[in-house]
Amino acid sequence: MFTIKSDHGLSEAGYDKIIEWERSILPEGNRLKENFYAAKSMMKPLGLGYQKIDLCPNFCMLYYLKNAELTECMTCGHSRCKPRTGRGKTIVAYKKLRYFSITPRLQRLFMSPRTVEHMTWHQSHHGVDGEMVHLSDGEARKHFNSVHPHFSAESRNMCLGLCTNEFNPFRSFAAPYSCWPVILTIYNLPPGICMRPEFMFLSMVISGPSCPGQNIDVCLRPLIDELMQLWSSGALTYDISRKSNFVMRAALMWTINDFPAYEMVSCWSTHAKLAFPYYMENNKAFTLTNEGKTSFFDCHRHFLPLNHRYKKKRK
Amino acid sequence: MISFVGRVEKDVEPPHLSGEELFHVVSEYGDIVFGLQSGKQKFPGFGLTHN
Repeated sequence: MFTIKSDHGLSEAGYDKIIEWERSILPEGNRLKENFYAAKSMMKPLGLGYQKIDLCPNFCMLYYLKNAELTECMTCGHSRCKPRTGRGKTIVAYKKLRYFSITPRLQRLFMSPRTVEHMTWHQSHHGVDGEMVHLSDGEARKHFNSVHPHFSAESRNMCLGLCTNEFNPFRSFAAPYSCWPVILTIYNLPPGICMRPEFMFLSMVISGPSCPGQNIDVCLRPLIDELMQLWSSGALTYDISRKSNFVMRAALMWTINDFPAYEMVSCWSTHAKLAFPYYMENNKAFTLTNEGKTSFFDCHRHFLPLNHRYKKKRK
Repeated sequence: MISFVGRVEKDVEPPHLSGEELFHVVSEYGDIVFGLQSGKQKFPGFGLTHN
């Protein structure tokens, strides 16, 4: 019933009505849960859970680790929680970050016989020279393997990509709301299943309504800490195909964004002449004389090799 | 008016920096204070040597 509800967008009231009808036709003493809330409570221990971390509404700091007990922001002085109203005793924070820990989700892939066979595909497949069917065929990945031979020696180590972009859960004409899901993808898997939704792990949801801008680094702190831990010391993982434990390490290979989001993730403005975070000041952009706008026209030719015929093209 | 007709490109490709070299360049800019209320923080050379 849970799968049917999520696949077809069934409302909670609709779910409860169907359960009520099913309970009426089942014999007395059945154990079918009476409503959605009871069923969800029963299923909760099976999930991997998530962590709620309080966040300053101005994106100054996370109430995390050594700052977990603070009651107001160290930078702007904004209160952490909303003032209590009425008789309610619940303390509600102004803004919360929901963080889905990545380590147990990666470990689960090695515990299932259906997924574990694909986890070493990136090193076991034999590509054709000159053809790139997977990122593991690329020069960047081969260079990484040569620089970190200890990491690449274990084919079960994970290569990850981080994707984030702005998302408006409401219609574009409704109230503007900037929500930022951060998704990790696994590049050990073959291309056919690499981009399937079940293998793309939602790592955190940065809620709005305002865009965090370059302060997205504050929100990414728990994820970076966990990735650093997975890179340096790894996590002990059970491999069901080999019936043994191994230390799984992970490396963040790529970040994938559109150009405006690239500015936020890299903290390098993608406007004006120095718009490329990688080449920095080494580009040949210029300002149009009358328009005053930045132009990158004809800036690509100096990337060509010295003997290329387009270097000397006069027409 | 800038003319591109007949221009011969003599410059070579800019250097490919490694991750450590990029980190070394960026780490010289100093720290910023995070937060929507901390305003725009620009280091000397903004728009000329860094962005």
